[in-house]
Amino acid sequence: MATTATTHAGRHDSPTHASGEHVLLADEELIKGNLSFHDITELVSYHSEKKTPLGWYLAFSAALLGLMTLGLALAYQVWNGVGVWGNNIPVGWGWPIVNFVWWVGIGHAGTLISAILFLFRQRWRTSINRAAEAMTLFAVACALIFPTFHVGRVWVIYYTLPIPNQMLMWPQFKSPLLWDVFAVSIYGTVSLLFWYVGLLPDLGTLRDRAVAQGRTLRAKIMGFFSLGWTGSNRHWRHYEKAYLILAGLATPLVLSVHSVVSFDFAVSIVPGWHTTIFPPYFVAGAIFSGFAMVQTLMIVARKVYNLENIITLDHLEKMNVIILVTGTIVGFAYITEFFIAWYSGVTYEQFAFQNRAFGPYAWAYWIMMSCNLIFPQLFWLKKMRRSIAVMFVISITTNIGMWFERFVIVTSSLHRDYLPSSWDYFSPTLFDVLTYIGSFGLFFTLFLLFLRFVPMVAIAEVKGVTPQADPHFYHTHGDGHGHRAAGDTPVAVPQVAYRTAASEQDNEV
Amino acid sequence: MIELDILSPSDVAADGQPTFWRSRSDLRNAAGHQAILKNEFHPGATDRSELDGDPGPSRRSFMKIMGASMALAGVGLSGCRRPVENVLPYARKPEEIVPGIPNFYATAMPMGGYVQGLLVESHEGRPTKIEGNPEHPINRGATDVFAQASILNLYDPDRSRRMRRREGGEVNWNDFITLARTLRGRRLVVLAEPTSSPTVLRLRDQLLAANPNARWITYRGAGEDTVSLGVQEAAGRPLRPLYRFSQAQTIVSFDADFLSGENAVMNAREYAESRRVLEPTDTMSRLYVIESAYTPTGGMADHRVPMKAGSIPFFAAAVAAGLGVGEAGAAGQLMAAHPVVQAIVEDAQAGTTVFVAGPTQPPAVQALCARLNAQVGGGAVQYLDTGAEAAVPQGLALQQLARELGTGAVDALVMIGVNPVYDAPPALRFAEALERTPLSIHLGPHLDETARLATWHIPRAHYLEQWGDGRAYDGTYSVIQPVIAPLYEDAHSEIELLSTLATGEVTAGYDLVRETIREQGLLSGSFEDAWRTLLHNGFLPNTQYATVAGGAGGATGSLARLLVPVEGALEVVVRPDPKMHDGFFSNNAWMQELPDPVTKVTWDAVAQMSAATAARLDIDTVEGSFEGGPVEAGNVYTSVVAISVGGQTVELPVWIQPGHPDDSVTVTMGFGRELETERLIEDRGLLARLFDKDADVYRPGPVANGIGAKGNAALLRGADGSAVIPAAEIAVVSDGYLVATTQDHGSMEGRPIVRMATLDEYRADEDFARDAVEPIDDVPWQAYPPIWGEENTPPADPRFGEAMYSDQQWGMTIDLNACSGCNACVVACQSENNIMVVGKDQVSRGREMHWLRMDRYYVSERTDDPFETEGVGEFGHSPMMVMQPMMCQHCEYAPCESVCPVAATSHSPDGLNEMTYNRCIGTRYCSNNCPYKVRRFNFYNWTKTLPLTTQMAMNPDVTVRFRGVMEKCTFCVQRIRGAQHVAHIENRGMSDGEVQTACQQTCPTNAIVFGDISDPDSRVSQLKRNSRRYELLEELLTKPRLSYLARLRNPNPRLEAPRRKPETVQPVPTHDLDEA
Repeated sequence: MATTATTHAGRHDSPTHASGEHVLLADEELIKGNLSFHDITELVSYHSEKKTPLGWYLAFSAALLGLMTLGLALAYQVWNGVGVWGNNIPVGWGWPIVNFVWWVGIGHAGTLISAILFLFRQRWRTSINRAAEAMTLFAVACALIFPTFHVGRVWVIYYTLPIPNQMLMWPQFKSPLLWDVFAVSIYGTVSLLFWYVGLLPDLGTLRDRAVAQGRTLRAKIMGFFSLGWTGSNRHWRHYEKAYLILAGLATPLVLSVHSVVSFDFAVSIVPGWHTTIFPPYFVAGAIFSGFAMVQTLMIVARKVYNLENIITLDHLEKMNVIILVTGTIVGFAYITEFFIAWYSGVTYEQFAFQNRAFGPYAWAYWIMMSCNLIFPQLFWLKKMRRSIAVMFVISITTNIGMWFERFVIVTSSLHRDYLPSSWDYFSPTLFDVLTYIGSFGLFFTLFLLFLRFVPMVAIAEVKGVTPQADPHFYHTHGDGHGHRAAGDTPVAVPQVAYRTAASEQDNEV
Repeated sequence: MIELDILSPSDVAADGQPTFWRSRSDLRNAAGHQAILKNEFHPGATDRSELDGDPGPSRRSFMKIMGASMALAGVGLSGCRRPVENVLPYARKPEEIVPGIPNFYATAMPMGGYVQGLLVESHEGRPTKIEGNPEHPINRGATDVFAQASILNLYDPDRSRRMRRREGGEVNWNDFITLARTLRGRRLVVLAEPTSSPTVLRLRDQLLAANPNARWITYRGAGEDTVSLGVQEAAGRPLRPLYRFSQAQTIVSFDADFLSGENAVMNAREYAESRRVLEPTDTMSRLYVIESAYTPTGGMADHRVPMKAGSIPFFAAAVAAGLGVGEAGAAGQLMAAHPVVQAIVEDAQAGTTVFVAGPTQPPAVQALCARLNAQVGGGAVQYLDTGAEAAVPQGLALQQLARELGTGAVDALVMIGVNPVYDAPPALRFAEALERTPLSIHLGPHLDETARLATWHIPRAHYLEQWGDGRAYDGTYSVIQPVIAPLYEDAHSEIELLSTLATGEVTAGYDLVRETIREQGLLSGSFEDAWRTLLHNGFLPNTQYATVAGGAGGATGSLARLLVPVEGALEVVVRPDPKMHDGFFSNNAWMQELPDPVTKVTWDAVAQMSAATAARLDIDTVEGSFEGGPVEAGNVYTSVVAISVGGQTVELPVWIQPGHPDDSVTVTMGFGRELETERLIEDRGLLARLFDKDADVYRPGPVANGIGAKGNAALLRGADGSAVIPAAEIAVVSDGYLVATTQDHGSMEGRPIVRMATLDEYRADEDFARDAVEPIDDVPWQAYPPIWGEENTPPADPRFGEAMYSDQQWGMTIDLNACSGCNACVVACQSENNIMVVGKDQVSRGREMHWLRMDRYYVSERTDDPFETEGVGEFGHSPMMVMQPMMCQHCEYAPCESVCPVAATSHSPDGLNEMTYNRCIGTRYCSNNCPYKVRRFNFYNWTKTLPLTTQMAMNPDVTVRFRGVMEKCTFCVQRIRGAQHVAHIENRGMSDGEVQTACQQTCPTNAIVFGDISDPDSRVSQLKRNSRRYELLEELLTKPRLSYLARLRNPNPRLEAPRRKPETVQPVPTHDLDEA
């Protein structure tokens, strides 16, 4: 977490242990390539300062096309009605809610990486947290589109907000949909704040570089957004405190938002929805899909932006471990649901799960099972965990599987519930597909803008985990477990400006 | 013209009273005196110049000139200013019209040769809802599905609007009068629908008397009237059977769908009466149905035998032989060993038994039934003397007519309410014959197949627009009273047409009807008073046809001439459609979207056959599909087959119907229509075509067009018009045809949805319906406390305070033992609550809007093969069929209410689950969470482009919903509030039965009872204390306000060994872990 003055330049001499023994850079696995502070600054800042490459324009055009698709698809839907989608009675919720839950789930990884891993001293998170958080924000933005536009009368969607009005009508606080409104909007707000606060030191860096480069306008813009960041001790102290508080605030939100989303289902009396296991299982699923999405994006970004030294194979491997763990939790939940359905003795529940696995939507169920439970089991093998190709494929299949999980929950439960007379089938329409594709357009438009204009790696934080940031060798290993090298003897705690609140606590423990 | 009871000098004179006279010439009635009396002034008194030779302008000329000057001045002046248009209230308020308060008028609906007595709700002169006349002896407040739907025929945007001549374009009524005068003495044939109207019959006689060359032929598009012919064969004269099922212990139907066919309202009521069981000690009748298609009547049967229509006569003969009726001969021996024959014989010997034969059965079977009824009917079947002439087979009459039309032996053909080009047997080549006829006049509601070939077409007035009369099925005289002026000026009624033809003069329908009444002396006492009473009541009591003593038992028919069906030959049976009838309702969007009572198919004609027959024909069936055809994505995709009979081919999608006899195909009439519309269908422009998802079923043109385009079943009927074709060719034409159904799944999956037991099981275990699930609380069925009990009444709840609505707590019961699934309630609900029609595509997507749906389940005795697709043959079994009307259950703990984020659905103080459309944002969460799935969502704006005429059918008391909002059954809250307001104003409490929901109101079997459950003496409360009562899915603790009364069966123990437990009821195994 520690960092150094942003203008710090020049290569350190090789650090040594207290014993005088040289610390080999190979010991420090978090950041590869023996990068100096300046190297890191250059490596990251360069991408927002260079001339926009043609590739970016091409990618951005494609994303914009997707965004326009979204706009047109939504306009068509608002103009004509929800009927342009495949929803029917009994399947009142179709793709829009599937997509909503899916995007919200993806939006879990960023804040989890930033907040929870921060509180748990997982220092390897610094390389990926900025991009992951950005991904979170954009995923939440995509998610919010669906519950907003899936309603029949989007122009009165504000009825769901507790706005004082002449009708003396409040929203109905018993409804999980209302809880959703609060949960997602609070999550979105806190995530945005957290991300922005974390950006301040790096924006200051960019501003100073712009000044040095003589780019006045850029310096002004960066100056505006960096809120007058100077890197003073006072700024750092406030910054660290704010960051810690926000991390503390965001942590329960990570757990709550998807729990609340799961209440949309769990609170109902629909067989297959009415399940107490939903909150933990949804959170695990959200982390699962979120990490997979981060993986997908980072595997590409680190290659394209030459960040392989900052986002190393170790990082990717650690994320694969989390994917393996959460995927297995989710798979366990699937199996538990079957057990409980059988154990409950309720025919409707039993039928719902039989129908899920062997009914008309069995194909979706088995896609889900394969992608979420079976494929991630490959990560038990270290070779697989460290294979870029394997992890890229699995990160994609995980997100396919998680989309199908939501599809299975929403559709297969609704399409056959209590009275067989009302049973029907749900098929999506072209506009379901276009809206979903369009949401990727929105996501990638925002993400490409982020890659272009914002430092995609938290420069200051990454510097904090380099060996150079720990000249007195109270180093902490990349795995987050602080330990001293053999023969190390404790010395006085150095009073350095870049000591972080976290490291302070470290030392107190 | 209304005649008032004033003292007329001539009338008085006739009665021998004193004579009034003014002068001697008046007294002598001298010639010329009358002319003088007619003038107000003496000759010349007004013309000054004539009087004294003054050369100046006369007073009259002066007035003329001054009048013209004033008019010119007025015209000139009005040019200076904008014309003033004042919107003024009635200066004198028309009596009894209060804006917002509907009036009810009694009238009658003619259909199939008799009328139904109706009450029509009219809002400021606009009829919006049809109800049965509660005092009418046949209807008693109920109607059938056709009467309910008939109001949309009035507002059909594709009704013909103008008189037309095939050559020569625009004509008007005066042209027709001129034409009618030229027809005197010409060879004129009137081809008319069957009618019971005394006025029509009087005008017919008048026409035939005035023109000896005229002939009258009655033609029923629905097919031959075999019942009349058969009874005539038995009795020697035309009689009409009237079934008093309530007196029967056993009822046997030979292919008769008497619960939805002719006189269905009375039949259903009588039948339900015979099955009314409120206590275990009550008795109920036993129904045997031997039929060639699955019908609602078959669904009610205790024993149903699927059998080819051609084999049923032999079954009937075997029954007759067993009972010693008629010369059994070889015909009676054929099926003597059938177990059901023996069971029927035993039951018939034991008690009153009614035999009914359907229109598909030949006259010989009808005669046999008449004879059987005379012998074992115990007077339960009355034979009415309608006074009609001897019936002739219409097939023969039509054949002769078609021949004559071709040869020029007919100068003019007048067609009243018939469409022979569409439904006459194709062998007659009626269309060609019609084109060769020099003059043909068609009176009908549409520019239909016949209208386009006729030389003249006259738009026919709807029965709500015309004066008329008719007799109900039992003969009760009823008057047809217009409720609205004809929507189109050119529309005329059949009596106006006939009177013009007969006399060459125009007489108003009003006068024609009154003349008939006067002529026939139907009214006693002061004519005007009695007439007004008649209009008020809608019918004349005690005008039933006379009952013939001794029934119609006479000669039995000639069964020997019937041919035994060839083994393996494919039989085709043409039936009137349960929704389209003979095509009269084809352009009625409600009827097109109404699910067929058995197949649940909408917007399509299908050929029904058994699974075995389909397999034999190599029709693509998927393993596990038991009904309809292969199910893919919730829709039935089925093969289209070409059915050929004697060179005529129709193409219809196959529908695999459980319980359908093998080697038989059922096709229904009313599809494959080609109507022409005069409605302007505006071009929408490129932008609208690109971006507007058009939701209006009327947009492409007449709704009937293109539905079953090659599927006009009438084309298959032979030259004699018989409904049963013994042998047909059938071949698959194509695959993958989409059939839109509203119910994909016919099994209850062992769930206790429709609970059912035999009468013996009920007597052994009164609580069987409650025992089907684990009880949720200790409340015995004898009590039905609502959650708002004594200690928790809404008035005690500060939120409701002194809300005037909380005095009543509304609830409903539906007796599944009475409901036959006739669909009348579904259309009544649609009409009352402005429910939109969405079209085939949307129905196939599961977006139909019916608030009240009729769930149909098949129940099988064998659990290993729930649908028994095999062995459904001559001697096989068939699955039972049960019906369950399903609408909002108005749960006290409503799952929909708690999940709405904006509180758009909430509970009223009187226990209704309410929807606030204005507040609804359309999340559809309520629908997801509704275990009954009775909520309906406006996926599009169905009302945006609705034709104006169709908009007139809307009930102004019910909000027309916008797109994006949820809707559902309200227990007809507008009726509840209306009645509450009246009671409030009159400062009194409400009485039981004061509020009737639309579905309850129209139900012929009184299966639906609605009322105040906080009143322990109300009918609904009493029924809620019945041991057969149960609430659907009560184990979810939703506490529905709607209860069902479990269904009972009364099987013959000889045919069905009694079981210990009801076979269809499987308790929810709350503790049984072995259920996986």
